[in-house]
Amino acid sequence: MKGDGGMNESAFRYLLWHEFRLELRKFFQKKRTPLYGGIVLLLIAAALTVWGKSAGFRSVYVLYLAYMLPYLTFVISFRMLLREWKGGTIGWWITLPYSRSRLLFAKFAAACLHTLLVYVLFFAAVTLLVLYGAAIHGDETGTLREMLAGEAFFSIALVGLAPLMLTLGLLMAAVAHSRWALATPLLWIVFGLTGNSLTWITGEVLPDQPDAWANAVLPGWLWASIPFAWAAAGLLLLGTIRIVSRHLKF
Amino acid sequence: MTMTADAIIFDRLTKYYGRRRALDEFSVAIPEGSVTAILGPNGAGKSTLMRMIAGMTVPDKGTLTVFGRRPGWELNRMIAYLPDRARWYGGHTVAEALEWGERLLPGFNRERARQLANDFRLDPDMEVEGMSKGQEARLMLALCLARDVPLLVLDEPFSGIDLISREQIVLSLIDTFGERKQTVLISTHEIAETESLFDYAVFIRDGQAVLCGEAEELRTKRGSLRDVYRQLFADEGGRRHE
Amino acid sequence: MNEFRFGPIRFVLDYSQPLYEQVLEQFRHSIAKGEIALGEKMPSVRELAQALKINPNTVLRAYQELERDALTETRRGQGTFITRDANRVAEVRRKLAERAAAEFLHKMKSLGLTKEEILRLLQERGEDDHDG
Repeated sequence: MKGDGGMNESAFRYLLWHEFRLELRKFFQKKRTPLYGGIVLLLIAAALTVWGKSAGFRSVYVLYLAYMLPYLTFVISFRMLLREWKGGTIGWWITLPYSRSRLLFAKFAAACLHTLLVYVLFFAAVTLLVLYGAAIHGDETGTLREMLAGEAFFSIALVGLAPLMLTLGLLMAAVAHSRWALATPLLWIVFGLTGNSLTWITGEVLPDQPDAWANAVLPGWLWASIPFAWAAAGLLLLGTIRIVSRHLKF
Repeated sequence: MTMTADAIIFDRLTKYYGRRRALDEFSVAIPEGSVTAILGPNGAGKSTLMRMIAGMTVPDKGTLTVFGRRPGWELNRMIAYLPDRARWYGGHTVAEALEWGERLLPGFNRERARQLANDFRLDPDMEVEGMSKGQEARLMLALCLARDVPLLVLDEPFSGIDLISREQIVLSLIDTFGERKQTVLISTHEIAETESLFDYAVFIRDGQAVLCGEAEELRTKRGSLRDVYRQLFADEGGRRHE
Repeated sequence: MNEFRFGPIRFVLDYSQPLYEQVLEQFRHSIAKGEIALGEKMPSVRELAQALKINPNTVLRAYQELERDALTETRRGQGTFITRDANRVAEVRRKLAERAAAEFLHKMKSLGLTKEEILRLLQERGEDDHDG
């Protein structure tokens, strides 16, 4: 009984589903969001049409929009925990008869799923835009291969980085409501640095010219960093559990 | 009235918020199976007490035992707690809220929940987002009352609720009391409408227990609970007395 | 003060006095007056608690007292019923009347009336009541 955090599998699955669905509902409830998304897509497509032919610009450069993904990832998990306070439901959530680790892991897992969804949508949209740009400006040869190589790179980089951003988001929401609340500016700095690390990694690993992307070899340290990033994420999650267990202020 | 064991024992509880003492050597025993009112002006410490029972906050000094155990998430299996100033998940419908209760709250009786939602005039398809305060309050109360657990803790369940909803809630509470053996703790200002519900009363002010005892005995000695409230707290500057 | 009707019985509850005593007294009076017939079924604890909007334990306490006075009897699985013993009821009526008389006499004495004055008062009032 002790080992399962007071929770049977069915209850955990439901909680995970509840967390995921609420986040999804929120996304679509503000009917603006899909609308904004559509508008942004159209704007980028328009920009591509107008300026896509200028010297040195390749449609695949749209892929660099992936720089915002780490920040988005943080926001997903941050909001997932924050909304208990904002929505006035913190009393219900925190008094659930389950271990804090189960509760937080459910949020983490739901945020992971949500993040996956966002990434898939992002890469699908980028793929469409790049193909569109290539089709209009006639540089189809190799564009598809370059784009896939670029997407592969970003995916690998994000595999390590996303869990870190996710746990950072949860930690931030918890710290902000704890006796350590004064540390939140520090955390925001960490957030900025970690989020920006994708830019730095890309600079180090991805060649400037997309032509070279398909043949680029990913350095060993990039692969090696993934388990470290996960370990760091794990530590942050443990820290969050600790704070939620003992240091929240009510 | 024969009260045997004590369900909750507050023993010299002290809680500081900064330099302010939210609870000051608060010591009271709540009889098992009783319906107890926690009465006191704003800021007296009622919510702090209830949060401690639910394990949301811990005392700085003193001990609190509930059914002989320390509060925490494990004990919350046995406690149905209605938090202070609580809201419900806006993205839910009534039916989904009841499902949440059924899947996550121990002792949740689906039939009873359905019955309560019906009594409270809550349509299963109603969205929480568009609900009035009264409706949302009734929904959250239904989630608590639908649970067959030894302890029910309601923090200001009548606060800001319209008269009709309040009457409905009182009737549902009486129904619940008649049906099962449960220790109930309710904090409220609305003492006039609800005083007939209580077996036991605890009057709290500035974090201290000013008076406590069986309701009927207090009536013999000092008058209605409402009168006692006025006697004790008249100088609290025109609280909203009904 | 709150007034409730339950069938033929009218309850008036004063929250500044113990509630179970009031419920108890009200039942005693109703039984004595014959407002509730012999052998009639009593409302369930829950029903009455709902009607009076009070804690069922309060009602239960009153019921237990009635049972102790042998004014009611509980039949397993059927509920609680008023006694069928007319003597019991007569005795309650007598006791209540005695109490009322004692209170009356006490009041009269405190006003300083003599026994003759009290008797004459009763005769006059008695005639008036028959006319009125």
